Amino acid sequence: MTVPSLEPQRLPNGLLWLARPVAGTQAAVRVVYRCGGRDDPTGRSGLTHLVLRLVAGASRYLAPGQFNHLIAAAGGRSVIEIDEDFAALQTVVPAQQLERVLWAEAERMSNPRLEPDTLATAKLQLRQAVQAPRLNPYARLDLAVQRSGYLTHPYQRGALGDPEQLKDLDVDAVRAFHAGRFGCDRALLVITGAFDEAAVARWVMHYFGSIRPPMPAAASFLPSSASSSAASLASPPASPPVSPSAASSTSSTSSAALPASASAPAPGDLRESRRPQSQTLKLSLAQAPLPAAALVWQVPRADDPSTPMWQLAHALLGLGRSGRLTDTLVDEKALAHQLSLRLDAHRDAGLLIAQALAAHGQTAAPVAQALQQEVLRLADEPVTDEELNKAKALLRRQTLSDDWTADRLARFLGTAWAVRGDAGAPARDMAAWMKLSGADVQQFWRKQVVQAPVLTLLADIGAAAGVAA
Amino acid sequence: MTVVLNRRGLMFGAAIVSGATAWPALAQDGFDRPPEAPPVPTPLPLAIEQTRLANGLRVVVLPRPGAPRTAVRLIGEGGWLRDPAGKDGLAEVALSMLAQGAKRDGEEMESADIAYAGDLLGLPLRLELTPSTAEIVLEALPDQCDDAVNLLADLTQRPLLAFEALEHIRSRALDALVLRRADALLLAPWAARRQFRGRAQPVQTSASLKRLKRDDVLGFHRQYWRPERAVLLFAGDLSLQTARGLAEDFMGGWRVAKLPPPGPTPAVSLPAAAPTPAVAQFLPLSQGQGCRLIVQTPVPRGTPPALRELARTLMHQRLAARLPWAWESEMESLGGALCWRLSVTLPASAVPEQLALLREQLPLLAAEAVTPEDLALAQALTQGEWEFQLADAPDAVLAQALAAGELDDCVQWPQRVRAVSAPVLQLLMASSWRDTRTHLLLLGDAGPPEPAQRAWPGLALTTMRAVIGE
Repeated sequence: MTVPSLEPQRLPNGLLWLARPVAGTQAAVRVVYRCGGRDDPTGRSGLTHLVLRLVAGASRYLAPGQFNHLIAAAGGRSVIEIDEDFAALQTVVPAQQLERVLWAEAERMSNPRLEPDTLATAKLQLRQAVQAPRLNPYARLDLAVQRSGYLTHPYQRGALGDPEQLKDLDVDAVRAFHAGRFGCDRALLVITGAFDEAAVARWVMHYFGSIRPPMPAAASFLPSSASSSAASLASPPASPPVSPSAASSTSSTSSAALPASASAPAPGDLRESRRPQSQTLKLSLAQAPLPAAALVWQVPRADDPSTPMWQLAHALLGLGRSGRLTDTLVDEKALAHQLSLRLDAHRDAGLLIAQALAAHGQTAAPVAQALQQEVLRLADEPVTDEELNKAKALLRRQTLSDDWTADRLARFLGTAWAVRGDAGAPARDMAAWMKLSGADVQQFWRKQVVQAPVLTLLADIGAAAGVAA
Repeated sequence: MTVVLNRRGLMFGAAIVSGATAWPALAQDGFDRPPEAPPVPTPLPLAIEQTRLANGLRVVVLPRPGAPRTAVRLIGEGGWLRDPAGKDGLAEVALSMLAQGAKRDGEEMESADIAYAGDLLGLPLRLELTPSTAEIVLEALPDQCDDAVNLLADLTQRPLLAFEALEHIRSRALDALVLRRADALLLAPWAARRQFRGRAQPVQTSASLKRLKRDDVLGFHRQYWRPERAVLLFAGDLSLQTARGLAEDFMGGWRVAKLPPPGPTPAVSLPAAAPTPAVAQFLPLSQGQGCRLIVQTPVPRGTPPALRELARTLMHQRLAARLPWAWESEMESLGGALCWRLSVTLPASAVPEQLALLREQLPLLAAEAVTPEDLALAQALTQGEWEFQLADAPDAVLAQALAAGELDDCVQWPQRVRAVSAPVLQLLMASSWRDTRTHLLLLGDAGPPEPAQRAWPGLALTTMRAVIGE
């Protein structure tokens, strides 16, 4: 299988960009900043989210609401995304409107209005987003997975943030953070859809090539979570901006080797501690209708070479209607009403989370035990070629489907770059699964999961929840 | 050395370095305004093709040249509006049981075999129930379409519908019911429909599920999975001739006995059921934090789909601008009766203020004049959304249109959207959301009832039993 090159180009101001054609009538533009909840300074959880809202909100030539109106009038849709590893703005429009969107995104990138009035609006929006009530009766379990699944890493905090920690934040601090973290040299521009590639190259150069790179001094502003935290986290210096003088010795766009794509931790990486031993926590969900359980294992950072192995094992256990977990625990033993297995791969560390809602009449502990047995059984019960091929077919379709629409492909490439450090990583994963055998997976599972400590979360209901911590 | 350049200066510098001497874009005066909007191309209608087999099965194809995979969907008429009186939930149980066992070449396939066969195609088999249809959905590579159609044929023509499977599915449905009643987001659409249409609206209860017998499932299956009442839909890189060949191979021999005598009366005769008088209800739920707020209003029967969608879109824009929360809006057609629904999730502390604002703003927003700019905005958004959905899941767009009996509107969507005028749109909007016709439902934790009752006079506390029936 050939893996297409997905190496972004670099503009003189440091901005990376990547354009991929997709058949159809639409075009998508995604601007991804490699700055997420993990980069929030200690005591300022949500600052990245806040700045993203400011960038999206108004700029020098786009009054509040004007961007959204421009996109709506074009028949498009626009969203912002905040993640632990990145912040992104994505817009999809009919393809003939692409140039206008590129103008607007360049305008938002270069001239965001970071003023007291827009800051107040963004704080209100952030508070609304965080307060957006958790109607799901199992929301506490999800929160516990995140808070206890990670031991020391800022991923514990999530990405949305805490409005109370931002209440007294002034506009100067916001400007300083924006200058250091939201510079064009920390961003990737992804353009996908039906377009003329030469025209897109011209537009990118015209609208984005003119954006001023950040000042070198902008890097030191606020303490990051890593540099100010007493935890075992390394300090993350901002990547150096590309100055115009340096750019003048190169061509206008040049092929760029992406940072942080090597398996060795790059500067700016935060480290997660290893879980020393297995642990069980009990939660009280007295009002939830059915008991629930979750098992959490630590997994390596997303760019680790073992990632394809984790993905294939995950597919064998949890993908499809015939994944081993559902087949055994829902259909055969009827212990669980609903199951999910999630591989949460992040830039610095990840989690494998197996979660189950118990069937009526069950309690959390036996469901957790059965779930654990089933996960561990992958190490012992042979994987047939047929089962392996089925898992690969599911994974392959999942990956390939991201190429089918402009919207999906832009999200896919941008996220792979921000989390994996390489937009082409998923395509290489696919090539890697194809070579893996069932025995490879089992050997890996024995070493990485069977012998690894696990966090067990038990959420009982009614009287059984009385002993919960 | 730090060189401070403004955007325009840097752009020139970079252009000189790159050797680009005369880009057309440089002629632009500045960056203070977007480039001119290009002319909107005239959209073409969807080029669907269809045929019928001798046994009455309708085959519909949306050709997608170059598409790497083909969506295959078998659509039957057993939607949840067909639930017989007192047996609410039968349609869902009957559909779920199709994936629990079937026969192929005389051999029994268990649920695990069926799941495996679907997964092997690359995307798990899906069962989808709408008000008027029951659907089985698969997706395959072009050279695996025969496997997909073969599996659909097994499930609908040779299902086992075994007693053990009924017990398993019933048990799962009861658990799902418990979850639904505890989660305001899951409960909201059902409680809202019941509020809007009263007892005519079927809603599952544990009693109705426990009442189901295997004979009910067999009868329901015989009545609604029939070739003359089914549609086999393809969206992908295949011709009508290929699709017809696949249908002939696996479904050409689909024969069923003459339609049995009518089974138990459907619970609903929604086309005849008028909306109930406007009411405002608050159903507290102990689980979760926050509140789901839903308002609903009737829409005149027979309102064309494009006009409905334009009204929904424009109102959504206005509402989001005036009350900036994450609103959702839909217009639901149940057997021809139309309901316009707006929903939002709020923290308890925000409920009274937002309720008061909503009560004041809804009629005003609906009555605002529709300017040519408003119409153009709504048309662009509606058209853009259609294109987005078509790119993302074309078979789902067509299936939805087929289920609502609006395939022609879907195929001609761009033309229908452009044909709507501002006065017609204005008329529909202005006739909606009047005080006397607007239903309100609060689900979840809205704090103490008094402040909400002051904000929306007439708001009454209610119970799960009063809304759902148990």
